[in-house]
Amino acid sequence: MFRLALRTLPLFAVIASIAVALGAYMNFSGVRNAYLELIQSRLGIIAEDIEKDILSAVNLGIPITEQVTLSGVLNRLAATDKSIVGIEVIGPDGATLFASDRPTGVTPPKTYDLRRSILNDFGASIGSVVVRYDSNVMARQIDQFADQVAKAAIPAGLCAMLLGGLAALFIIGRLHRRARDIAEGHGRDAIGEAERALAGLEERVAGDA
Amino acid sequence: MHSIQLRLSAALVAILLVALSFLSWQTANRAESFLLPEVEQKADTVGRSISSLVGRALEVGVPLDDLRGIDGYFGRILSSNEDFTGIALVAPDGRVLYSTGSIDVAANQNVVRLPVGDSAKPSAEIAIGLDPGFARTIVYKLWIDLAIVMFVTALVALELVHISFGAGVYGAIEGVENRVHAIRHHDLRQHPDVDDAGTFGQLAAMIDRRLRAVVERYQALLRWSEDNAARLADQLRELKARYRLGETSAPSTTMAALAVRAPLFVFMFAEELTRPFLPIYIQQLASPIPGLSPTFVISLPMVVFLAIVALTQPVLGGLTERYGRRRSLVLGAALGALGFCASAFATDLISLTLARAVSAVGFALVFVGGQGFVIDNTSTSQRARGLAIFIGAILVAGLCGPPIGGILADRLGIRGAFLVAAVVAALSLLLAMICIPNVPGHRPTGAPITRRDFVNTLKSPKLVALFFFCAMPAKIILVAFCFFLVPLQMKDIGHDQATIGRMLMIYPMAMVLLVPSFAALADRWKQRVGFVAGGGLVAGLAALLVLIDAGSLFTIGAMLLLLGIGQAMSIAPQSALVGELGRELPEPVGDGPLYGIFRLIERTGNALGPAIAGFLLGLYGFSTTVVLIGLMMALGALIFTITVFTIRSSRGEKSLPQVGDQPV
Repeated sequence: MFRLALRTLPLFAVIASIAVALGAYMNFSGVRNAYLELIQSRLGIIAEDIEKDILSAVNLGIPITEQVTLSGVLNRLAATDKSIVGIEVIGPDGATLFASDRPTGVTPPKTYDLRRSILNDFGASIGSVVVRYDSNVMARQIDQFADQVAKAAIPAGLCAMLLGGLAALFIIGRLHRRARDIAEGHGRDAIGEAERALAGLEERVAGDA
Repeated sequence: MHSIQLRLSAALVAILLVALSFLSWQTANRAESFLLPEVEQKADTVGRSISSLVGRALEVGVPLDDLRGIDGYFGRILSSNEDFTGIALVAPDGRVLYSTGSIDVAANQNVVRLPVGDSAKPSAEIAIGLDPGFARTIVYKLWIDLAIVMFVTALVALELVHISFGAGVYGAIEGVENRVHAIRHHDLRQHPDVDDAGTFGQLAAMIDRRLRAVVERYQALLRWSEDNAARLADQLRELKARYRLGETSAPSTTMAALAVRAPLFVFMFAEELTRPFLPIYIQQLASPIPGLSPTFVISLPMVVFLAIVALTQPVLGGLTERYGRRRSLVLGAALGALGFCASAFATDLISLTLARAVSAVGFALVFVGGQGFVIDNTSTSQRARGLAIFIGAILVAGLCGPPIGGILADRLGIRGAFLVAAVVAALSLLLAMICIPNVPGHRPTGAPITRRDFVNTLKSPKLVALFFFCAMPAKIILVAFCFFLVPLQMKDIGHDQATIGRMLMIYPMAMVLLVPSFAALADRWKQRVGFVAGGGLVAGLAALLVLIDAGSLFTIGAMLLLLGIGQAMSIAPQSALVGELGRELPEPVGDGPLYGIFRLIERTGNALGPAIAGFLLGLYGFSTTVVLIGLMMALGALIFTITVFTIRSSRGEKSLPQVGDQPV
């Protein structure tokens, strides 16, 4: 009986662990997406502010290439977050027009880049703003969070497997008990009732004979 | 459905509910410390942006208490940042000058403050309230997806539970359960023998011995009663009526046929995973073809897939019989996996179409091989039950696949989801190797469909009406709506693939729940024609709902629900009517060829579905296309009804003869 219940364990283990793994992944990816969206949104606001500054100056007749104060603005904005590796204003030909200062003597890390086109009043692109964010910071944070979710998922998965096995044992054991009672004629059941009814009739037949 | 399966699945759901709740609670706790610093940083950035704008206004001399339009500006920021509760502009004396949303500017926690102008002597202060429950909201929003995971897991457990025991042991458990259940309900009928030497096999044999002993005593008394002028006859009749003594219960599902369910279900699940994102993927890869509308171009890989499935099935029936069902299922699953892999790496429409063509051959092999396996392993009396197992596996896969496929596509991307489908198809290959016995093939025994069969069948106006005005439009509308139009429309109105997948559950759910009831009602009321016509009308007229609001999820969901109800009404009576009307043919056509022709016409409808939808979508847009296809379906149902009743009345018939269920 116990062996029989154990046969259900592999299936329950596989199904429960897949379900818990999928659930854990969904939890993780839902929060990770929210985290990435927060960063994208923040970088988007920075890029939008720079775009507004540039367009204000363009509207006053200062071409983008001549907005020399932009470097200072870019430095100031880049300094607000140490994970921002750099901010650049790129011309329509792809050349970098202005950029925040890069730390010297440091290998530039891999970056996640948010790019926003700068469109003039006619909808034509006059350049773009690129905000570069340190990918390693993002990856480190996400990895830490993934570890935390995994630490919760592993015991949950193991418990689910164990409980699944016990549930299978209980359900099959219950059926086995009921079937054994009927097979061995313990307790009251319909067969017993029919047997008693037949015995009554048999007695009458014997009496008649 | 056996209660042991249900109990095991219910136990699994309960356990998963606890495990996933715990996981979700833990994630929510950790997400808070993970997301909150980022929310604060973002609030800081937004605050600087607002501060800079207000600072500029003050620099040009606009008074602080006369900043026009700032409420609207704050409102726009707030509506696009659900992690903020409110924004306020506070004067140096602490007065709140402008405020949107809910914010306590005096609070120490969950408020980010930024000065306007000189930070040493600010002209004002921007305060942004943070939502402390933001992380929890993110995690709790995932509960819809988690609930789907649990639901699908329970269905998968239901489908696969017999694998863990093995067919023999599972058959014994089911046999014992049937006996226990029957005896608890005072049903002492004999049961078919259980072929298992294990614990449950022995228990079944012991119960059978007790039942046999009772029956033997009853029969002895019955014989005595017959020999003795019917004395005791009333009591014996009463006993028989009460306990059904001397009767034998109907044979349960053949265990041999059950072997195909797991590999079939898993393979179909792999294919169904692609439903929510396939048209979107095709759209991404498609490039314009001169002379064809972009939407028609999008339909082409689907048309190729469904056309191959339709056209190869008649040929593959004989081939799988000759080369062995197991080999066909294994080869089909391998081709399916290969096709999914190739789809994941497709770079353009042509490579995707080729990949889908490979998948289509795999699909047809698995479908035909599986169906043939059921037929090989069931007697005529078990055939309908065996085929119900087969259809059930496909329907349940249709219910489980789309929501999971949508979730996977959202999280892993479409290519990643295709790779998962390939892994699942490969798993079905393994299951086919494990579950299906290796029986060598033999010469095809079934009569092939001949031209004469076609001619004889199409001589019947009723059958022509049933095939071309009910069965074919039913498949056109199903494929056009569920596989093509709805996913594209939902994507256009901005929904993600997980939502599309959830939406695509509605149709199969209606089918799974309602088909058995409608089939039973149609038979009980002897109204198969009525159910076929009524179902066609319901399904077709459901399309008119899009005229209310084609951009509303509720409308699309209601349309799919009514489509499911309509199809559930008509699908089983339609199959039964084929045999029924076939018996009226002046020159008889065998059931095999007759149903072969019926399925071929149905599958042609499948292949036409996306082509018609793609063509119309390019010309008229979503709403008109849906309405036109729906009206075509409804009109078809009307023509069928008129044809059946006209011919019936012209021959003076009172009603159609009713026959037993035919394979569905």
